[in-house]
Amino acid sequence: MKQIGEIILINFPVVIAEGKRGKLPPIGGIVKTDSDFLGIVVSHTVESRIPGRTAVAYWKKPSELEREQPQTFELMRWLFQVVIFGSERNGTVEISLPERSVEIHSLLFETGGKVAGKLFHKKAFFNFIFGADSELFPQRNEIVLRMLNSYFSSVPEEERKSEYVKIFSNLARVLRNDYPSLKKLMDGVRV
Amino acid sequence: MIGFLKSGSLESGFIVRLSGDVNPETLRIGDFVVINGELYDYFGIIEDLVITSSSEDVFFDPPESEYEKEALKGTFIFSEALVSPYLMVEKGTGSVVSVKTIPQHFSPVKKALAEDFAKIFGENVENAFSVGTPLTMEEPIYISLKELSKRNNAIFGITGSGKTFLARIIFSGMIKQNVSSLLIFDMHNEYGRFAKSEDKKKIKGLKAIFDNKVKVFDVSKKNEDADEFITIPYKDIKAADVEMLSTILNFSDKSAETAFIIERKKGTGWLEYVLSLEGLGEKELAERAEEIGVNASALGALVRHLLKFKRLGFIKNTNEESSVRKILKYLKAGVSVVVQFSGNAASNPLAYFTVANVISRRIHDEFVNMNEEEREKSRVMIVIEEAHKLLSTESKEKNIFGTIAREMRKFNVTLFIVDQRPSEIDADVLSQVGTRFVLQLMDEKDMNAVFQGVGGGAKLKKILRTLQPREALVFGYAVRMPIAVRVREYGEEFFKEMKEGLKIPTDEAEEDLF
Repeated sequence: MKQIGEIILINFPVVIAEGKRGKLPPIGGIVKTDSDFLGIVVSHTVESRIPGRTAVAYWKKPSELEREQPQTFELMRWLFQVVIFGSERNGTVEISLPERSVEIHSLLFETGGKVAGKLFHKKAFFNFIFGADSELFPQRNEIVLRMLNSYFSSVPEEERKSEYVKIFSNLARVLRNDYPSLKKLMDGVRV
Repeated sequence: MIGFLKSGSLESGFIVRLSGDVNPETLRIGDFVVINGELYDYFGIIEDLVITSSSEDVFFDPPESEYEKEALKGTFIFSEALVSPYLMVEKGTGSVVSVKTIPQHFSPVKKALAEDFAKIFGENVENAFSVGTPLTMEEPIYISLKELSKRNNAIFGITGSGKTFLARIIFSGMIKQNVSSLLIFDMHNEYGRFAKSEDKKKIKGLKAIFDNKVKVFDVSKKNEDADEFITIPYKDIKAADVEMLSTILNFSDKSAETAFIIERKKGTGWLEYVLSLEGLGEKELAERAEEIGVNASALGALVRHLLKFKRLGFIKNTNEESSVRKILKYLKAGVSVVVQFSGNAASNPLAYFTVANVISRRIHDEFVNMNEEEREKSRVMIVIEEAHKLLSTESKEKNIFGTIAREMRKFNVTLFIVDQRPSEIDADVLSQVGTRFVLQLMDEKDMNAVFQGVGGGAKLKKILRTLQPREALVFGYAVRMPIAVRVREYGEEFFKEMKEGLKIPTDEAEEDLF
């Protein structure tokens, strides 16, 4: 598993991790802590390492700026926000929050399509996302759509349609009172 | 499993939510289903099928691909079946009772399997006989011929629906199992030795299958397949027969009244007397009318009407014993009799109704006067076609069939009606029909009539509407619950089954009868 960040701030179940420039996990990406907890990346933030300092405009391309003033980037940090929702142990995924918060400085790793597939086959996963407070998941539908498209791109073509039916059957049950949202997801997924 | 129980009541039926993976096209009205409760298995029939949705939004922006549609099945779009419950089988004991309790929410529902059919329509009934299979399965459905023989029964259906095929099958079962002797008044010569199917193919009749267990009588010598011929002496015709015919053949009421007056005066010779007036002039006829105390023009009309009897050929002024006696002996000996109508009697209502009435009246008299012990040994089922003409509200009191339908069950004589216009049969008579086999009917009045007085009739009517030719809805005493069946094939396999282990009376045994 590839390491992609380290938790530096916790407001459980929301954690903020520091990543690397150009290597932040994608929005909607599923990440895993070194203690097996799973979370969804919901936003990216880039800020100065110096409290209170904000970046100023240099009117140059990032590549030019990096060449001319590399310290500008060294003074910045790349953060991503993750919502913890469950765990994966011994190949089994569970959709439930841990009793206690994850530890500060826990390392975060990226997961593959296999974990996403297991989650999407669980109605409880979509129940968690669509049942959670909207502040936890800003642009929830967009996040779900990204997750789905990312997953389907990893599924062999001949399995995509049957996988689509399974996953959207779960989603349809969760969104049974919100057909327009379901249809937007259906329309946005590339199979 | 096809789904689970969603809601419902004993009165209105159970609503079953079909699983998303169940294609509603694989189910049909009339299918037999089992609801697995905790204490009982509930047996019912699909009475209606519904496709519906949980949101109208679906139709404003419908799914485009097949897999999108597939994903919405069971949630936004789904199907339901309305099931009428009839019986419940106690788990453990297996005892079967009519439905009295209701299963719980989410009880699983499945299409009946072979073992389920066996519990309800299996061979565990008296004189079990298979008449067909469920509409969408191949399991045999057995009816109890014993129960069938105890009451009046009926086959209703339009022309071409398969009435005669079904009748032949049921009659074959009764003959093979010696449940009852049949007296079949075979208006269109379809039950004797051979008959013709609708596509003009020669097919076996009951005589061809059962040989000496069936005797074919005909009123005309033109029938080469007949075993014997019917002669009815004048003395066997009563004024009541004329009264019966007055409604069927539009004789005036005056004719019947006149016949009764003459019968009172002349006794059994009344018909001979009336026919002797043929050819008399107006003056002579008036003199005779005055002599006997009837209206001259009514007498003239009666003579004209009754000459039709004479022209039939088999009603004769003779002292020879009526064939009716012989028919009775056969019936009492367990031999079934098919009475056919060939020559100028073919499809002739006058011949048919006269012979049917005269013979049935004799059977009625004979069985009413039989002692208990003798009666126990004999059971006769009289089969009549075009029964609505005999059993309409206007005519049922004027012939013997109304009496047989109402009163003869206790004397072991019952009716088997084969008809296409049940709405024209009197409601009282219909209420006496124990088991009904209903094939395709088109007329709303006829559909209503067959379910008159039947609990859940409106639900059964829905099933009836879906029937194809050679499919029948069976309900009544011979089955534990209503069932739609595909009538079995009447072909070589059936004939072979009927002949298996059959004991056919020898000619010597037959001679002993007489």
